Amino acid sequence: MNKIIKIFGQIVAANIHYHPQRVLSLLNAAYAVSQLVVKYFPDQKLLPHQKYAAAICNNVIRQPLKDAQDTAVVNIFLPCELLHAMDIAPQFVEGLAGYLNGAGAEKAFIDFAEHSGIPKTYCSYHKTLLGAALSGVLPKPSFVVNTTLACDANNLTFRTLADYWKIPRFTIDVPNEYNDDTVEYVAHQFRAMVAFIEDVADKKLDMERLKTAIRSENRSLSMYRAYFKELSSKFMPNNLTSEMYKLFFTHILLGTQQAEHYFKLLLYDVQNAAPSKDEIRILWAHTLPYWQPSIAKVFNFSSKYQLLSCDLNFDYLIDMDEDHPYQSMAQKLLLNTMGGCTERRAQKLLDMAISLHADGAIYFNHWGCKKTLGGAVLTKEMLEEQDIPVLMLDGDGCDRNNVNDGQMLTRLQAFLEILEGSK
Amino acid sequence: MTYYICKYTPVEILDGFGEKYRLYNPVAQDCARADQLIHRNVCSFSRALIETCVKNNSNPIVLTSCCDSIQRTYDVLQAEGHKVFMLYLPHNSQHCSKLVYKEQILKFIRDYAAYSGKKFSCAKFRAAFKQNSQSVVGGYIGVMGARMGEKMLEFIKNTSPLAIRNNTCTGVRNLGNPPLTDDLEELMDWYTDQLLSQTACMRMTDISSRRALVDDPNLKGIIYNTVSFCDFYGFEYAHIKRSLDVPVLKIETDYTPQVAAQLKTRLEAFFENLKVGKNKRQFRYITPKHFQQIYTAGIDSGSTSTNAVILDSQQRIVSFSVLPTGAHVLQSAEKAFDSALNKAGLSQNQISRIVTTGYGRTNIDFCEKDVTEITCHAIGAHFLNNAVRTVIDIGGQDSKVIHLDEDGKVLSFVMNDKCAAGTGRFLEMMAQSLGLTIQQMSTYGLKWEEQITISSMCSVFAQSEVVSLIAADKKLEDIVHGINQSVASKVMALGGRTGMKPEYMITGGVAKNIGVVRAVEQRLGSKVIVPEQPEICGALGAAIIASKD
Ligand code: SF4
Ligand code: SF4
Repeated sequence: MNKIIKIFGQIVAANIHYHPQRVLSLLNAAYAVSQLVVKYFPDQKLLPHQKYAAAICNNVIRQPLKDAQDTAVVNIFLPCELLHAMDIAPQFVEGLAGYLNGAGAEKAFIDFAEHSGIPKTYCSYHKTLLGAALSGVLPKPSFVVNTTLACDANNLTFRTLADYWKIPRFTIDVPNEYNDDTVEYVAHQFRAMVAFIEDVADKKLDMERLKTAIRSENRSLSMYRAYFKELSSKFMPNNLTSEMYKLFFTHILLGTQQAEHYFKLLLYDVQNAAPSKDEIRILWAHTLPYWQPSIAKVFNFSSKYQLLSCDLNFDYLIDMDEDHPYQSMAQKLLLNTMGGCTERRAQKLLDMAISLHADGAIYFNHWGCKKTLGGAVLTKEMLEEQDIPVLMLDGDGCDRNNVNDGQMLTRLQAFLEILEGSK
Repeated sequence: MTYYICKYTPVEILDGFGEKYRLYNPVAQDCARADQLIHRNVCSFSRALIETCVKNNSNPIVLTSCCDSIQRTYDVLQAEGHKVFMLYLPHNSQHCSKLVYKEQILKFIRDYAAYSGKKFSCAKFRAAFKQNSQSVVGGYIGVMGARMGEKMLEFIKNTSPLAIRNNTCTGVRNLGNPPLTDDLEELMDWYTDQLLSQTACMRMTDISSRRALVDDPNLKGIIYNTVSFCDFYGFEYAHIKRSLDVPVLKIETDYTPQVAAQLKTRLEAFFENLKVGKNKRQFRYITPKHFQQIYTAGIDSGSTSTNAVILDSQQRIVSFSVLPTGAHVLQSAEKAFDSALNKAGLSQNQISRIVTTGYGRTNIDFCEKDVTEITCHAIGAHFLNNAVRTVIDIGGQDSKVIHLDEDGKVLSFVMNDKCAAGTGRFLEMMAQSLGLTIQQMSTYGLKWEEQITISSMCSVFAQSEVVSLIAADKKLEDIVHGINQSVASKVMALGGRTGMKPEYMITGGVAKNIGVVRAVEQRLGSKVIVPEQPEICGALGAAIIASKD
């Protein structure tokens, strides 16, 4: 770990119990500095869309930390078009936890959460966020909204947050079966959610603004689909962090101008990328341990390995219908590949592996994500039946203390050696 | 018999079909089969469920989408060809959620009728509702948290000085009396309402009815049950611990019998305090005569030992060394390399290429290349015997099963997870508990008489199991045999899924343990080739790569 980050993590740990406000100011200062760095001294190896993402994402995380007025803590799968249309800034679990990890502070927060009784076996993204909230570092938002997609953690975390902050909460229950009834059930909940937000935020939803957001979202998605089409025959250097940043744009920022601009750059970059040659093309399932130097070294800016995409970045790519926004949002949740049975997610992974000409897939067993862990064996079998080799990699996308670095690297390299051997 | 696991399951529907059913809380001796079907870090209950369903062919089973682990259990059982019914269970109990669940129940009736060929009878359904309230008067101890096996509950009931109330997730199930009608829609409206209005379980969005459970002045103590790798109940436990001042004992179940045995002692203490073969190629050692020879070396820097092999240009082994890995990887590698050079009477500048492998491979700077142990073991094993298709490498900290094709290319491999079970470290820990040396460990188990099963896969639990076996005056030979069996079963669990094919070769330090090798052979039902120097296989592979490059 970078020395400064290490020291920063220690300072956070030393202050979190008695001076949570001090920790918050420190974090704010740190993110302000990194905002300047990504803006004025971006890593020159980054492509334009990656540089842009670094700056935007930092801001998305920072804003609610600076001023928690009109913010909501949400989970990544919550369709945020409604929030954008009502000028409410979303703060989401994986994003915030990722940033706290970037500041080397996740351990202090995880320890805090575990000491408060949160199980050790719990997802570390959620543990980090809970630690930040329960320690008093994270400023209290106006309300929390979550979906029950994709994992149990959402229910447990958001209930704990609402209890702790004593703020209103709204949960969208997402069945794992798709039919007319369930679409109506979820759409109905979205309508209730609007009433809920109008009430707690004391604002009125302007339908025109919602439609504008949806139109922008559709333009973004169409550029994104075009990007994938191009990528199938291109080589475009990637890195783990940028792939994680993409999550902001494929989820909570969809429907914003920033997301639209991002996809424009992304498409432009891929159009200008070199044609695919004899690189090893890897598809990734689930989140990425971008903070782990050994793994990052293998992929980041590699000319040998093309990290194509993580599957969370193509969990739902269908256009929205501006005339039926609530139904569309319901469909977005009900058909999301992170919900439903293992086969659904595996099938999408397989389809993408085929269309992107992947040589192999890495299935990342993020610690505590029962949803992902539980589907590991079946997914591997399904892909391997179609001759896509799969490496199951046990690790942790957020908690540095929870991985066996040497073993992970050995597995990864051995897998890549096999792929190279059979090229 | 139809099985179910959750209190929200509409089991009275089965009464309507005249079927028998049972709440299923299986305890599994081990989870060898489940280990092949699902990741170890999903909740232990679901693993025990998979294990027993598959082993005992417990068919059919009705599941609800109660948590992430059970949803994946459904996927696995389904893929295994089990008959499973799955009902989507909403997270809340508002009117529209009830409508969604009612549809699920109606669908279940249709599906079950099609499956069983029987007809649903509203009268039989209505007759199923007997009141089963837990009539407990005065002070009691609440058993709370996650579902609990019947045996354990029985034990608690028999040992507790106070009455016991089962308030675990599946314990509180209380439905009212159905309306006297044969109109299916009307009956199901009522039924869904009853099911979803029960005391909420932790997966529900609104859990205020659960909180009411602990607001009872007669509640004198709580035994709080959690399940390993299930997150739901840790949250509630934390809340109870913070807000109540009755004594609380937290226990964790993993649905294996030995954990139950350990828990008994803790429960008693809590109550006391309440007061209320073939083609084998021999190593050919040669003394280097012609210094014009080209030599290559492989160094395997493992977590416990560092090994070096030197080959000549005809790929004959000139010398090798096996040394313990010290605190410094680089120094240990230098030592092992020097020792092999000494034995061969060579000096470092006579070695044309060095390839490293093993955990420490990247830290060794005097090499041309580093390659993973997987590839090296495969090449080494193929070199020693080209009939080998499966390499079982049991090292100090980890074990691997590697599948090869006829050219010695790696087809696939599996590696153990973080835990020590099935590794040299595990055997060392066990030897320590038994007061035996590693040498003694390797032969002791051969003279066993009584079959003892060490059922825990976790080394920490296995160790305490061993300690209690010693206390129970079991013969050392039998315990060691049990340990060997457990290592073998771990290896099988690791390699089983992709199908292990003969010929088998076992490499790594543990291959010198005859007891373990025999146990592996017994499980495989086949002979296993043990090379003369099993530890150097990886270094040998590295040296071969160096000689080919
Ligand atoms: S990693 Fe898994 S458990 Fe964690 S938030 Fe994401 S889906 Fe949920
Ligand atoms: S935890 Fe809740 S949903 Fe799961 S089995 Fe228990 S009662 Fe059913």
